[in-house]
Amino acid sequence: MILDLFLNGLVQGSLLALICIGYSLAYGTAKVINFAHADVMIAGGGYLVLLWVGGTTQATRAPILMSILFGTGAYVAALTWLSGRRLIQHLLAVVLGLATFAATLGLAGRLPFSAAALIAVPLTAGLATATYKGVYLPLLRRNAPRTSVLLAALGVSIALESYLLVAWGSERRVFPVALLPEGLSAQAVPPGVHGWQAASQFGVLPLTASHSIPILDLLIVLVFLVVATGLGLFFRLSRAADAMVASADAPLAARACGIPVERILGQAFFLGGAIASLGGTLYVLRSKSLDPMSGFSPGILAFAACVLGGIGSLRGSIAGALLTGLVTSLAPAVPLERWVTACLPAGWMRFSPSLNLSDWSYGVVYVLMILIILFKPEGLFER
Amino acid sequence: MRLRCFAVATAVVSILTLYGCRQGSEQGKSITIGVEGPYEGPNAHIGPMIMNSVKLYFDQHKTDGLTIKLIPIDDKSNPADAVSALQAVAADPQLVGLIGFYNSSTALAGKPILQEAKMPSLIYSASNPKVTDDAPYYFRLVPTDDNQAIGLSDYAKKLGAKKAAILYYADEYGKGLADGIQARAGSDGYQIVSVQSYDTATTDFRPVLTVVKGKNPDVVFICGFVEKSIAILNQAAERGLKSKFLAGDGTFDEQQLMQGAGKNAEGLYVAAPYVFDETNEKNKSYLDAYWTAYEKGGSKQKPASWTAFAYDAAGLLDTAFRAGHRDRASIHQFLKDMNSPQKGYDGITGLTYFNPKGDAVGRQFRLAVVKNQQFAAAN
Repeated sequence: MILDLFLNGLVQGSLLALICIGYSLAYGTAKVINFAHADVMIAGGGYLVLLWVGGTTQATRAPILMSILFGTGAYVAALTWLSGRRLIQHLLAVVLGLATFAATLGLAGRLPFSAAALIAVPLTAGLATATYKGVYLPLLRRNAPRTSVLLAALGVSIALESYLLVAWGSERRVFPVALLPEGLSAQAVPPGVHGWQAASQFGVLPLTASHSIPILDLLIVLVFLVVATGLGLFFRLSRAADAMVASADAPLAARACGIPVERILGQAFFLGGAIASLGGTLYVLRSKSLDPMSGFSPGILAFAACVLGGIGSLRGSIAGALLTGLVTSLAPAVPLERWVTACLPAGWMRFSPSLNLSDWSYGVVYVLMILIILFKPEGLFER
Repeated sequence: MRLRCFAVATAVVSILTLYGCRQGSEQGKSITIGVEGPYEGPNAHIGPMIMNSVKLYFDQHKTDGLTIKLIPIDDKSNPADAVSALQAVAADPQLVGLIGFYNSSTALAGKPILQEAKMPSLIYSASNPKVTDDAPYYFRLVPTDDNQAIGLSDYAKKLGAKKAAILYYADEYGKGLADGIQARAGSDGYQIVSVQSYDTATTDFRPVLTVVKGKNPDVVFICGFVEKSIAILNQAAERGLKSKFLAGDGTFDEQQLMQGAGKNAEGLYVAAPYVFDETNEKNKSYLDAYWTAYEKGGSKQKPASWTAFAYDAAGLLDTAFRAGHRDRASIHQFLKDMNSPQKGYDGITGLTYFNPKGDAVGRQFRLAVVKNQQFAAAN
């Protein structure tokens, strides 16, 4: 049992880490606490669902509003990258935005899952870049106080949630199981089915008689490992990463050296958005449902995990995410009730509140977070 | 110029006065009923189904010279939203009755407001026993959770359970049902090995299910609503949990359940406040009428127990209107007097009359089981 919980904690932690990296990149470079990050992720998840399943109950409204959102996102993001003449810049960006708009409208509900995911990742990253270019950059340029940037981030987050609410309606969308890619939707394995057959048809890899791992969970950990290794190599080896670090640590000096600081920071948002979109895709697959507000809970949890590990540090946020995943997963197994009963005189138990840690939900994580930052205010790892 | 202004002003005032008179003369003939339920939020599909059913009743049963206006009151399945939505309409003198409450939590939150407003309220789904405590203006058509808990628990005994686990949604409905089952477990001869709660934020049930699996229960009770039950069933299959599942009526939603859980729902037992009987003439004509009226409208929701009770609630109010009771106080008295089978209302869900507490007498939960992706009566 502990082994199962531990593995589940790792999977949960890997998913959180994919969100955390975006928070850390935004804070580590532009010093923005990007509360809108998780909502961008859910918007990406919703976009993926749109391309794959269609608008479901909002058959006309959802495609139109989502195309507008992502078309605008592509337009604004393109402005961040393109250089040269202003007019040509805008023209190209408009073309890109319109192309996104038209493609989204045309393809809604028509793509297989994998193709939808492939398109959703760069476009979600584009939306993340657009929030930077459209909201944070103007504030940073004017040297706005930190609190204003924070408020703007909160504003973007809530505005985005409301937009998705209008587009999709507030109903939680449970995906028809029949539409999920085979092998990624786990089912009970009938007796007598083993090994590869179980994995490909029922989405579960049996290990022993009583233990098994869902294929999707393996995929999540794999994606996380690839992303983490890739980022590690990127920051160690590439010049673009050097520019990013320089822009973060000494923006003035970096600019003096000819580094296009603003564009580089845009890249950090793009990278964070792309990784979050991967996370969003896997989140959608794992919970098999989605609603416009579903960004809030994992978002705030990922943010807490980031602070726990040390926001701004990639290593720290990943460690924080894994730790948080493990704590949430292992909490229900803590036999607190038995311990307390053993310590207290008989009869006292009726005064005690629920000692089942799963009743306390995420409270456990946040209490742990407060304890850790009381002793190590900068988080577990400093950048 | 001044004269012209005066003339225009006089004209406007007289038109307004005349319009007001017209309104006034219609007042006696127009009655408003509040159709309360979740029109947004996690159970957003319920509200429109209830509205459809009530509207269907009044479209089929028109009274000459009486206009019935139905207004939706949206609680989003959230107690705080229920309070503000009800406060907004409670003072409206045109509003003479309410058909409401999918959730027990919203029914309890709305209780003080509706009692103070002396609003006769007919309940089509909220099943926590406490809902009708000290609530003279609440009349409930559905069976209550103590009855449901006993039914579920007795069935676990019938399945030969020795060990059971409970997963409950942390609200009045889930907790009430879980408490009821726990109270009954001893006399049904099985032991409760694990009780775990979850809430709206819970999407990952795997840790809890792993703990439950470790205790190796014969049956698992799910006391919650369909959306989370789907996640529980899917993740239990993923974790290889082989226990039998028994769920409360919050999970009794065939369409959503089959769509979301598919094969993983096979063999699930669900308590049902009412199951349609196609051989019953009244049931059949209701089902046919509902499909004819609303399938075309794009709402492909299969009628369910709560729509049937809402339909009968509309029938009860209509009976009161026809007997000349058209204000809150006399409608309340009329419902209160329905206290014996002779005075009862014979609707599609059977004969309805109320005990002094305001609960319909003789209502029983039935048990359905999922077989070949459909609910069938369990025996």
